[in-house]
Amino acid sequence: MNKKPGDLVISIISYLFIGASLLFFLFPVFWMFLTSIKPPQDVFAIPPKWIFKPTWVNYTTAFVKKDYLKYLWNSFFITSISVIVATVIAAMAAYVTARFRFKGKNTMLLGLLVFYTMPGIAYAIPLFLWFSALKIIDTPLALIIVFTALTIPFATWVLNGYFVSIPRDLEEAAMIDGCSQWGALFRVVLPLAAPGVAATAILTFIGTWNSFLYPAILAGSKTITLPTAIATFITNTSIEWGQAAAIASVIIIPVVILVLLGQRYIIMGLVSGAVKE
Amino acid sequence: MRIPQVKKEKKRISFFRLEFNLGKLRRRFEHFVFLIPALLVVGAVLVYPLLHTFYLSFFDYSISKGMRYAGLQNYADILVDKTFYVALQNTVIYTIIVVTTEMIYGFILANVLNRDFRGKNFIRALFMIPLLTSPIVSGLTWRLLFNPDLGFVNYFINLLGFKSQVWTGNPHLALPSIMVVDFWSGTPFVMLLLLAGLQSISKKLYEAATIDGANRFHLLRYITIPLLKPMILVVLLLRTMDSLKIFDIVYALTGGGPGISSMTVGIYAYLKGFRLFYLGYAAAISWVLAVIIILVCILYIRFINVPEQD
Repeated sequence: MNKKPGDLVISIISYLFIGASLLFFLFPVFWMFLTSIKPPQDVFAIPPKWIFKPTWVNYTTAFVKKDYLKYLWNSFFITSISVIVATVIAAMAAYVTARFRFKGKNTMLLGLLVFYTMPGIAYAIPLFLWFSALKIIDTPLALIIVFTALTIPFATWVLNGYFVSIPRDLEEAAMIDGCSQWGALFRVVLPLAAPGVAATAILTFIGTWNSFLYPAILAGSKTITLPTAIATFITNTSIEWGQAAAIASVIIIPVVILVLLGQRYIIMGLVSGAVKE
Repeated sequence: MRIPQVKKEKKRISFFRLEFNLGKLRRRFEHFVFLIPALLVVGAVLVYPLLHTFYLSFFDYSISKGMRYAGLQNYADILVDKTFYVALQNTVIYTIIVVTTEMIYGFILANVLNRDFRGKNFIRALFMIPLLTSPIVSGLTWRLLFNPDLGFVNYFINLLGFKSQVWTGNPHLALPSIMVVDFWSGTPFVMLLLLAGLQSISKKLYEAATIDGANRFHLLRYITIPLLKPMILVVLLLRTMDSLKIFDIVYALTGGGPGISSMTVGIYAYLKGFRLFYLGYAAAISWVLAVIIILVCILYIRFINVPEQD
């Protein structure tokens, strides 16, 4: 590569831009984490204290003395079950949309997307009324049903993109050898699409894990999830910032770990539908 | 010109025939059985509630008074509801500003990050963190930063020589404060998708154009933007939908206040429905919001399809 004189200037500007952007986009989360390990008297010190003796007292107060460990479990349990059920159902649907031509297929896929884009509040009122009538408010079942349904459209879209890219020959061979349609999906296509399925599961896990509105409406003290539980800090007149920050950090950490594990596939997954024309 | 139209009608007819022709269905039953769970769940938990919301919107329904048929009264009330207009205006202004700034900044950031530099994968991954943060946590985090007396934002602008502000408690600054948070959490999403789009553009195109004497501006104008256009439109669509139904961040940051200065349509429907329990009215507001989103969606999809047909 032959360097032009302008290249160095552009490089410097680019790195400054990246650095400044990184500062802006990372600082809030970093600050939240810092607040969670600060001793209470240092939380609102002005000028901010950058050097202090870290303490885990906020974590122990929230997760040992208070009930937040239970809420963490609720989040984990409800999210995992919903994602597993939704991924299986969506994989079956996406298999059909990716493999078979039928009239109205595109209408159906587009329809799914429409339901994905609807505001949550448009579903929430009847769901609240029904679940109250069925007396399953504040049970894991209520949230699992809702999260599963909300996840299916998105998961179907992404998986459809993956399945299209898998060659047909292998499953045809398997079916000639006596494998059923069901077996072709679960023994041949799914293992081949494993990275895509994992990416889909991670993406839907994040969305469900972070969800606030439905637990706020459909969960009570028994099944409340972590993001909804943290919102109760907001309504109090004085916010216990140390504890709120500790809980916020615990909400963020599993998601960051998941994404680090599946980073490459996720980006592929996000664009698979859009780029393939 | 007429041929495609005729084709389209034919398609329509056979679609319905497929639906009602049981013999044909039975032959392909083993395929479609895979679709049934998804359609069943989506039908029962998404489609039916949406229709039920529509139904409820014709009732005067509150916990204290019970349910009473009200015809179009709820929609008539919305037309003269000043709070609704404030909420709608806020939502539209908010969406326009937030989506525009996020698209521009995200585009620049994606282009800058598309360069080759050491540790690029790690840096790109770091930018994903705001995207992964639960919106309610983002709101709460920024509420901490915006704290009027002891927050970091005021400390920072004091250092720069500006006066402290009561960010989320000032009617003029509440909505802009929310925009900052949305910008913070939405820009990485735009960046990520546009970056993925950029990486799918062949480097050879740029090399060939450079050899032919194209400068940076030419490359951007005649290669990057046209080839990235489908992706830009998809991102634009997704961000617009999300901004129109904005809820969590506002809930965590201001709750629509002070007064109604940062009220959005989503928050207003929630407050009417689940704080005051005017369920019929809240249902009507939700439907208005849903229809707005569907209309915008249709407009965009028309727009996206146009270049493909040329």
